[in-house]
Amino acid sequence: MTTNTNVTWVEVVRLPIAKTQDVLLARFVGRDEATKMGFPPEILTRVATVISETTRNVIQHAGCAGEIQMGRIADGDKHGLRVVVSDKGRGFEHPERFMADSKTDALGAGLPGSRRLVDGFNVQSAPGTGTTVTMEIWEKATT
Amino acid sequence: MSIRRNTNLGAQAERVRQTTAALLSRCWQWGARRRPFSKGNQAATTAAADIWSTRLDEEKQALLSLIHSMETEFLATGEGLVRLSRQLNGIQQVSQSLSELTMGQAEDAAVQFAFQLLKKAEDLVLASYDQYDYVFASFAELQQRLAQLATQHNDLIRVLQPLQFITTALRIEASRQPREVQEVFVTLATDLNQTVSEVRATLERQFDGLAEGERIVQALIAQISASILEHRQEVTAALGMSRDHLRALGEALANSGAGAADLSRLNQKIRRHIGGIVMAQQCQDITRQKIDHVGEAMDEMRAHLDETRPAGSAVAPDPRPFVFHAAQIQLQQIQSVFGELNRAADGLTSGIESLRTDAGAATEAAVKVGGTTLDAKVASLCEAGIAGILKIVEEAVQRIAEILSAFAPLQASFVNCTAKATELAGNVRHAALNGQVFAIHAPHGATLEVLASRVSAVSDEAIAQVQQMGAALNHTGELVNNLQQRLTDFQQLGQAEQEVLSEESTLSRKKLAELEQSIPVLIQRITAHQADFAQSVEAVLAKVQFPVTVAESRSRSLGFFNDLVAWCGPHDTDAPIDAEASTKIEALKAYYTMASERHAHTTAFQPAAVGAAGPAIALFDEMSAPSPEPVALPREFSAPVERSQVPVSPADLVVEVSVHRTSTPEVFREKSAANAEMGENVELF
Repeated sequence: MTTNTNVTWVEVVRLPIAKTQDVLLARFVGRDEATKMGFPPEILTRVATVISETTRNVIQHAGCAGEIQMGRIADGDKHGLRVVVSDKGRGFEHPERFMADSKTDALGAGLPGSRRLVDGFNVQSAPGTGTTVTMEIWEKATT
Repeated sequence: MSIRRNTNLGAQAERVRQTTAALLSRCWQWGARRRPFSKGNQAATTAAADIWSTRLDEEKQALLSLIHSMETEFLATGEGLVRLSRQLNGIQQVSQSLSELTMGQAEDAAVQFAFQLLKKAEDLVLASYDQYDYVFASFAELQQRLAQLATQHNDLIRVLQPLQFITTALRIEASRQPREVQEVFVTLATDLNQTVSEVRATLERQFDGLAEGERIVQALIAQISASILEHRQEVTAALGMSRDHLRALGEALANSGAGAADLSRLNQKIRRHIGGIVMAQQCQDITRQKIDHVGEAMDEMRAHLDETRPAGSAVAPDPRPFVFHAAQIQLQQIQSVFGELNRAADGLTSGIESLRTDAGAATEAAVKVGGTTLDAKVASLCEAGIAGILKIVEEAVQRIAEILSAFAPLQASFVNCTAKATELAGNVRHAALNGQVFAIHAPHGATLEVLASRVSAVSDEAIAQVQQMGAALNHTGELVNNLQQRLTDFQQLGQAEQEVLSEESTLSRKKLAELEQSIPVLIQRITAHQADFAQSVEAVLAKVQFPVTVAESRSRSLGFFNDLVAWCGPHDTDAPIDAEASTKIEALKAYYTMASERHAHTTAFQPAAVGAAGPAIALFDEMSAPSPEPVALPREFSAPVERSQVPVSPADLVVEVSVHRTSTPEVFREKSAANAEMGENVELF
């Protein structure tokens, strides 16, 4: 499950992520944006959840501020929401291994838990260079 | 001398060899047929032959009875195995449902959803703490600024203090002036004194208000600070408890899921055991044909034995050489048949043992799965924990509102204070300017002018001081404004977030409640199914007599043929037998070649034979139901094979074996070492 790089992408909002309040604000804005796009309530909850999980990681693990970008994506007639959470902090090794469910201890939450809630998911990270998580949720979720 | 080559010598030698062989054969046949019993032996041999003929018939019936009993048993146990298979499918379906519920791999799985909700609530609590920290920091700064303001206030009072002496001096100096000048300056001194008094009183009043506001806020801050400390402990405990509950629920669910997966694996093993039992029982398909052949040979032997009864005065030929050869062949065949049956019986016994063992283990696993989750009843606690966190969040948002309301009057005090102070300082200056103007016009007003200019200087200094105070107050006001704005924003965000979390909490409660209700039901179902299954296994296994029957029959049948061979053995068994008997013996041997068996089965494996199959035992249909884990067995058995209930014809069985063989699952191939012989036989078809 990866994100599609061939879709058109229009950034709608960009927010700094430095404090816990920013996590709340980011998910509030994400939920609001998803509401405007006409997503059903269960998808709104998913949007808020994945934003929370990923931005919280920035606060707790990056060791520096990050940012969140949200935008609308389109692929032909399909429309969706893309969320990119990035930081230039500590990063981590082998994101693909990290993404294996067996590596998590928080009841499947965190990044692996987020992956299950979205249609497209991509994480790029390396020690010292930071982490970028890209997530996509499409109308009429394919999951 | 040259030897002339005779080119016809080979052909002539061949003709001589053939002629000699034909002559010898005729002589041997004639001699064998015509060789009479001695008169004394014939009667005894005939009596013995009669006995052996009867025993042959009895043994043949016993063998056929064995086959019949195996078929009957197969059908009876087949029905039981179908039932077992059906029960296994039921258990597998429930196990699968349980696995899906408990493993939490689904989107928005209940525990994960609750856990994420908890984390979101924690975000809100932590963000509230951030606000509190900001409030505390702002308040500390505010207190510093208020202390500075108090200093500035004191400075202002000090600046204004000389005015009292100046006004006294004005009055004294004015008394030396003409009456009208005197009145003006006395009035001016009085106004100045009033204004200074008013400034003092007003500023003190304002500062008292400010101090009062500060005290209120300070008290509130102290109260909030204390409660925040308690609150943090409470939140930490509540979050920790909720986490623990959710983790415990997650672990319990994981245990249940793992138990369900274990159960599923055990049931897959059981399914394979059932398949093994079916395969073992199916060996009758192969042995039946061989026993039929043995039965035909026994008929032949009986016919020969019956020929020993003399017809009229004719002397009967000795049947024993033929019977000896035929019995030896049958003995070998019977040994082979029972060898196969023994191996099948061993396979069956071991399959039954494994089935019994794994069925017991599966029952224990089911009980364990049930115990784990039912004991772990923590979903309600998790719900309560989340509700507790949300209450704390609500309180946090409410406290932010309280802080806002406490700061509002303080901010109003700042505005009033600066406005009044500026106005009063302006009044002083205005009065000073008036005094200066009057002093200029007074006849001896130099001193008055000095005094008035002194008042003006004081007022300028006071105004500068007030302006500084104003700036400080404005700055402090901005601090309060910012704080208010920030708290207002957060309050709105917090309230919105709280509403969302409340909705999600309702959903989470619903999910957890469903989980809590569904799992025990599924577990009870599994436990009950597994207990029924264990009983069914015992009931089916009780019907399996095959290994015992085979052991008994083997002992009896091999004993019989050994006795028969022994009866024929001491006599002239090397004596030549006639051509007809010889042909029959050759035919008997040929019966048991692979080619013959293949032909027999090909003949049996005709569409007519397949079509003749009666009501089905849909064992393999039952076994083809979906299971939680991909297992080759059900798919391999997906082609339903029908067989008649009563009686099962060998042709039907051959068809069944053939169809199965084309898709023999890996699990059976693995067992090929034990069933090698059976496998080879199956390979025939």
